[in-house]
Amino acid sequence: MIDPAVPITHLDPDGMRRLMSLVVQRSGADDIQLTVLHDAGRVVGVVHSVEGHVDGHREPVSDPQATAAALLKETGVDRVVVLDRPRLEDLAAAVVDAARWNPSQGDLLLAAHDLYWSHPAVATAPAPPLPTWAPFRDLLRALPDGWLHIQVGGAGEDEPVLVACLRLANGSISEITGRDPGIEPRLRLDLTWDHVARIANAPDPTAALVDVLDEIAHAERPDSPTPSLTPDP
Amino acid sequence: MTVTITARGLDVDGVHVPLISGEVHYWRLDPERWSEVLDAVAGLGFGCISTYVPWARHEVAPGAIDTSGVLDIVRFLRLAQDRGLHAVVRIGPDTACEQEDSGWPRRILDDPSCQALRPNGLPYVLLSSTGHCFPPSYASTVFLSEVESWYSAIGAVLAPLQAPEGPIVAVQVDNEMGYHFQGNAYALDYHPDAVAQFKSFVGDPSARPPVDADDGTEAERLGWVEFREHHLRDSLATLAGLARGAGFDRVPLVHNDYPRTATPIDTGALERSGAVDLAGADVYAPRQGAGFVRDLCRRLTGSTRLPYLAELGAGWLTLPWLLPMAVSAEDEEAIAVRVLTSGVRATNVYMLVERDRWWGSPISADGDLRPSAALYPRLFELLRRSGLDGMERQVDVLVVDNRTEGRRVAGRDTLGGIVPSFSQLLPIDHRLAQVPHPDTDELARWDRGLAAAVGAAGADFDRATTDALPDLTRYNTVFVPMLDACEPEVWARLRGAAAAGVTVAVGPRVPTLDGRARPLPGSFDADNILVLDDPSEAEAVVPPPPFTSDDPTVVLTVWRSAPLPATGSSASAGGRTVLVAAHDGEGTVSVRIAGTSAGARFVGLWHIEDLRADADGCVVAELGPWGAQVWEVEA
Repeated sequence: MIDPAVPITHLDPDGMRRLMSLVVQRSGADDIQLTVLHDAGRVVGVVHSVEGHVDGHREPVSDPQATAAALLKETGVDRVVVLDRPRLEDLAAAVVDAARWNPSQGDLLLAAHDLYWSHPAVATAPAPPLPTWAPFRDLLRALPDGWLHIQVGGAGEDEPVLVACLRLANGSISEITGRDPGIEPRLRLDLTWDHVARIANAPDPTAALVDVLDEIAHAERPDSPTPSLTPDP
Repeated sequence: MTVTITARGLDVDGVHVPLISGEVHYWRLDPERWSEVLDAVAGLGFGCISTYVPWARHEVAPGAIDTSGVLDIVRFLRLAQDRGLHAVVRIGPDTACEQEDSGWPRRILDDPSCQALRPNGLPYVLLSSTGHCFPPSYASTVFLSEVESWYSAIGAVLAPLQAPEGPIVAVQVDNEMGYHFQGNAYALDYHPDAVAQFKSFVGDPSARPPVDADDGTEAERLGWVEFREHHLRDSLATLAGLARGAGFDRVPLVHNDYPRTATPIDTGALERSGAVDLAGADVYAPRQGAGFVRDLCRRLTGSTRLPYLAELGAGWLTLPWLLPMAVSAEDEEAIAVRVLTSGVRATNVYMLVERDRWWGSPISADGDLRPSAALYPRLFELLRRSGLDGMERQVDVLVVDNRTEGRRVAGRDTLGGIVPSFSQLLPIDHRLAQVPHPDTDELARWDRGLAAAVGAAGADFDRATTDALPDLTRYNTVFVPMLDACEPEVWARLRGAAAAGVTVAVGPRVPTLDGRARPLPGSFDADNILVLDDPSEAEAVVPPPPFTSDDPTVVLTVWRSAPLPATGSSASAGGRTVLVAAHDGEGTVSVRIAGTSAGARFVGLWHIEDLRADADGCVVAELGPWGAQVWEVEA
């Protein structure tokens, strides 16, 4: 998704600060989670994502999925995860394997997400969350090779606050720069900060990014029967 | 050596040189712009630059390196020297700095004989900026042999550039090494060469390293935790020896610790071990992190010979999916002023010059000054006008971490086989990796509580660890959290200080166990030692500070040019006095500061105009959000 050797240069400090602020805001708004660690049914630890270690919920775990569902109902948290300590060793080996075979960090994180939430060492309620990187990967794969020019501003901004030119090749970002690369972009996207905030504050930011981009593309080509990002002619 | 470390900076052939540098990465800049960039650095008042020298970027084949074009570090350093700039070179092997491979060559990372191992024999997956890798084991003899080749190659290029002939005044060995040793006691490193070192460390050829909180006896687990600390220091000592062998023999060798204060990291103990000549630490924080930064600075002032903040953040990395942080010029000013008035005497602004995967530096990659650059000439002017370089911070209190108890906490870790380098890789709550125990909570309560109580008394203080105790008689009062375990040598030091008149207070218990948690009856006589029942009792034990503020969010630091007066005496009793007031909070506060004589003049050295003390020897000052003021107090 993103070339590990990607250069990222000349990004405007004010725009980056605003972007980072949104991401920081978003990262503080995670769902509240209760995690139970057990070893052959004996509970070793229980951590509440806000309160830290908690003393309760020590009943032996015989059916991890049932325990997760029951604790979800009992505690009212957003998510319960029940982890089987010995079986996590298998998961560790699978993640190492994924790291060997996925050259890009985004692909590794996507693979690790799938491995974790589908692994028998992990039981959860409600259903596992969507993989954050998947829509991003799909979006990149749908885009043409060449430069994508993203400009964030408008909606009361006199000047664009953040300009990022992304070079795409085979569904992967190989360069990001705040400077005009001097090559006509294949795509241009004008985002407002409202768009960016919507993306940053969404439960699944990359899915929201795809939604926003499709929305923009549709607005620019209202006659298009299937709104999607397509290259300029 | 031509260059030596002093308590104020560097001595270069008899000349005092402040170790205040700015980070510039030559290989990430257009060589055609090097001159302009270095002009901008010197123009801001810096006398020194710092740069990584990344192994992976220079290496073209094992043992062969490229130093041409954008990698022509000799030309770069000569250009710096032409501008009167000294240089710190950071030769790795780890050179991090958001490189996808942390500067380790990919062939090394992919070589199983070099990889650090978890207890289950799996390599450790490290997310490294835009990539990921299996980081090396610093015990691996294959890895160390490769490092020797790299040092030899780069030493042949750089050693001739050591001062006084060249600009290099210090060489950094590795980078934040403790970060790669993982905080979890059972995560790393179980490489066969590390295990062999462990056996030698515990003096038992048949010893097997424990792999979890319930594996082996507590004494065995403590032996492993202690070994990890030893291994970190020993690895740096090995690298330092290789660097000396490669020709870096005329300048100090330095290291920058990851900003973590629990095992296996102990900056003071690292320096005390002699592995490197100077141990510092890195810190990045927005203004809301001022408390953490102050705490780190106190640890440096309490336990190292030249308090060195080896990376002081300016801007931040462009990786919002991995480590988002929003910092502004106001953040950088708030943190930098606190650092330079807290007793830290050496630092490196990172990144002073922007580069790939970094935004918001004071100097652009083209050498243009950004508005945030205006801070640095003002800081240099503050240091010049205040004369802090020639003064001593008045600090009467030392708060000590009990490292033996800290190791017992670490020994209760679990999940070493899987705990991830980043939660983005696996969303396992890192707290699950600590098996709950009442003593863990009790130690944390005392660690936090003692510092809070001393702060509540308005007293400035230093921090240290039981593994790197400074001269305790420098202080009036020493606090140490004490549960059940303590090294007998440490207890003897505390008792010696108490016998010498220092108030030594511990709590909540008097120890009965040694460093490996073995009963040691009769070794912990508490004569002359004050035993507290609750950390809040420390507030009443603290000697009255020379200046006090009526707002607990305003932290005062006092500097004096004359020998320290007796505790509790007026700060205006002879010599120059500089007072720093830092407001750790939002909003504006009007603070009343007491501690001098009627009519005393407060000469503003930073933002504020002069003030005059009232009949009670008090002044009232306005401090903005996270604002700081510095005055010279003229009685």
